[in-house]
Amino acid sequence: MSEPQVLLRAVNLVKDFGGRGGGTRAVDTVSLEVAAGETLGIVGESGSGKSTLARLLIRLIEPTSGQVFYRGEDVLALAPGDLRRLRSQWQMVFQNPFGSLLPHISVADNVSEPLRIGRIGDRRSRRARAEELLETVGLAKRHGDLYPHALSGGQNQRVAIARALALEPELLICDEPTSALDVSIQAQILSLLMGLQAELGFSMVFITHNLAVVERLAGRVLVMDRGRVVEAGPTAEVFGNPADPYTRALLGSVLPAHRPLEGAEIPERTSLVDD
Amino acid sequence: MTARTDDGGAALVIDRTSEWGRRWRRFRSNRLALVSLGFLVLLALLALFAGVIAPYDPNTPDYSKSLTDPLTGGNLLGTDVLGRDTFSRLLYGLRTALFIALTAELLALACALVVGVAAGYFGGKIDQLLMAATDVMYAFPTYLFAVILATVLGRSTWSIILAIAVGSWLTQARLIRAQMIKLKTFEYVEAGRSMGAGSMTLIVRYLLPNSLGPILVTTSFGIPAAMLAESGLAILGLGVAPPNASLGTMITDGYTYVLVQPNLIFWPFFVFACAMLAFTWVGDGVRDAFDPKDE
Amino acid sequence: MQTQDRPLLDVRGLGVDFRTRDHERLTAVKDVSISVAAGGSLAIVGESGSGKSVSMRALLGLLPQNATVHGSATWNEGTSSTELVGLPARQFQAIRGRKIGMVFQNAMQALNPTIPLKRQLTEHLRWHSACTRAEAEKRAIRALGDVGIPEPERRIRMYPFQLSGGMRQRAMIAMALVAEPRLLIADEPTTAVDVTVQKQILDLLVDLRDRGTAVVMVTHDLGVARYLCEDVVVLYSGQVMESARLGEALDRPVHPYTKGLLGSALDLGDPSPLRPIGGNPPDLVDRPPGCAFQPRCVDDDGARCAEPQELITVGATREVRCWRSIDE
Repeated sequence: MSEPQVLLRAVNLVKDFGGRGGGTRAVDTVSLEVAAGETLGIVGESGSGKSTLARLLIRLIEPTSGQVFYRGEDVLALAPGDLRRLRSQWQMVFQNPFGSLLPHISVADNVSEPLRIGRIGDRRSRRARAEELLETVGLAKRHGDLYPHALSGGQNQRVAIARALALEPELLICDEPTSALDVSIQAQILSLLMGLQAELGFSMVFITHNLAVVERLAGRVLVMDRGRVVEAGPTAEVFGNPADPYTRALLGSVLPAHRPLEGAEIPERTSLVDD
Repeated sequence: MTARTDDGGAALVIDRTSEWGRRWRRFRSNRLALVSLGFLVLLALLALFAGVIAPYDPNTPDYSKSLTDPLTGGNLLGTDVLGRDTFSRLLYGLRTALFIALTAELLALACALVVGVAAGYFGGKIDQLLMAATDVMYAFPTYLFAVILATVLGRSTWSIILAIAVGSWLTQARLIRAQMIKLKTFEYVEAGRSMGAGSMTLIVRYLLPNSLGPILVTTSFGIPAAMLAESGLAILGLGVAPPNASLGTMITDGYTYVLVQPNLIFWPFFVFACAMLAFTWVGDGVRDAFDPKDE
Repeated sequence: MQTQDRPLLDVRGLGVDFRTRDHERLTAVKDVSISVAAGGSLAIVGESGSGKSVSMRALLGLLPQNATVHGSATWNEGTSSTELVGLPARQFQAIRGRKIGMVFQNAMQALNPTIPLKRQLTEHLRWHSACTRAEAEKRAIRALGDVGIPEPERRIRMYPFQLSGGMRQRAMIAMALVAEPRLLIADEPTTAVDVTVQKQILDLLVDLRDRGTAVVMVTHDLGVARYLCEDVVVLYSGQVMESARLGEALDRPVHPYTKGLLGSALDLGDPSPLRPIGGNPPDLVDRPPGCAFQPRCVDDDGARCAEPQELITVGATREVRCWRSIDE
């Protein structure tokens, strides 16, 4: 809270789903910090609670307990009006590019939706801003007139990124933004995000199951398993010298494309069987 | 900037059509639905201009020509026992039936929308109440309810409309509720929330436009159901008060003379059946237009 | 295994066209030739719209009514050979499931949720090879054990929903293996599962391959292809762009598309810059007249790329659909 460069700080976040004893703890006592301009990677497999954690960070869902501070402000104590003001600082990019855009409005309207919700500018200025943003993410102005169904998955993800940038956010939460895309398009989107970050300086929380992506993008990484953080630290350190067996198992499962897998230790098969 | 311009180079065939454009295109490709829609428009026009088209007053008896055959004595479809022109009565009967069905359906839909959206979106108490009420309604025969209502309110057109609407709105509310609950979890709704959209914006701009499909489909199936309910009430003797005609009362009355003058029951029944079929086929078309199985 | 001149599966000039609703003809697969030797392992690599799944479904007679398949695909065993293209559905049953096993991406769709595993596995077996109930059950339990499902005697009584995702995927592989097919076609079997589970499933397939079952792996992930397969066919827009020994193709790619795929793949501990392919996956309705990859190709020189490209044989084991490869 006191350090100025810390943008987002979460303390002991817990989220239980379901109730009356039969519930599950999706996120179990997770604390983290995101500094201005940095990228924090969160890796884990399905059921690790990484997506739930992302939503807790920007109060899309309410935690069972714990605290979130944004630039020192207690996010969970905010009145709805103040929360809305802060929301413009956080934007989210979702996994499914078709599912996160409104199908019945044009691409330009989708991009300028945050401006519309925030009652910023008039129709014409919003349209101009949308076209500008479309060009920023590598699309053309004319794409603005189309509807999401007419674009490919990769193009729609660019539209979603353009929308996320409309209010010049300080923090971008990316929830598996490339895992629904073809490999060649994944690479396009990643290099787009890296370029935009270098240019605009926003912070990112990047959630993925792909360790190679995290290594490339994130300075620090959090490894999650069944709601808990099993390991955290600078990415090079965590991946170079993993302390937790789960992190080791994850790293051992990555299959390189450019060279044969060299005598990597193959994790004990039955120990990983979930359930 | 590292971003490349995302232009495939080759001139792609670009589809600029909006959602509605595409839906209409899909609906149009279904011949049966299109013809049915045309037929319904024709029926609606006939009903609307019944006063202009009908050669006779539908309710004025002419005892000189009771139960005549079609194309005799200047009556296109013959006359009934009181000598009233069947064709004219058919037009007015159609008007009454359509008016009752449409109004009842719209009334039911309006209630269903308010309650269904509230229950599905906000959940909590409203939801529990709605579910409990629907369960009670399911246990209660709709007709019994309608009979009680019609008895209490008298045999007016409006009491019939109310009885039909009361009988059908809960199921529709439940459907809208289910739709809301489903759409609430969609990523674009989450995206809207993350952008700071309030509940009203989310409901009006995000949820409702994307629930239009199921809503329109229930409406287009709800109208024939309401027509059926109206004729059902007529058979129970709770149709529109005489001397006014509706398709339901015409069928019921015609039944008495089925051996003497089958035309009396045939024509209203024929129009009724065609309208029911047409509504159902339009409903099928709407459903396919909104929920494409291929693509 | 006796050495034969004829490969187990020999596909020559396979093409698949779809009639769309607007009465257009959409070519999904165009002149694809591949062969799989007994005990071999082939990766079929490509993005969406590359025709990789469609061509496999065509081989197995699993395409919908509006598809037409042409070309030839022969299944060779011993001295007998069967033409799969145009094979009547009834005769397909003797091959599909029995000679050629299949694993698909979504295990939940392939397993019937209302029937316990035991019945699904044994029924399957009893259709394909006449054996007694007890024998079928024994083989089913063995198949489940083989795919690394612990306590197969207990789990065989479970319903699919009682198993975790990884376990279901294995159960499906067990179902494909229970009839001991000579070829297993796996269509992105690990796309929907976690990396650790993916690794386990691939290890299972490696085992299977080492025991002599031929494997065709359809994937978009070059890492998966590299881990499992000896040969690779790179498909783009329904055409073979490059086909070669896998090491050869991935270590020294010739076709610009193969290079692009490699440039798009991120590896752990590999700092080389990301070189994505620009543009979008191919549009099958509106094909470019020349090279299918021309719109996205970094080496596009205009004139020669605007002509349809032929597959050119390069060296002993490689074919490339790019005129530049003549110089290689």
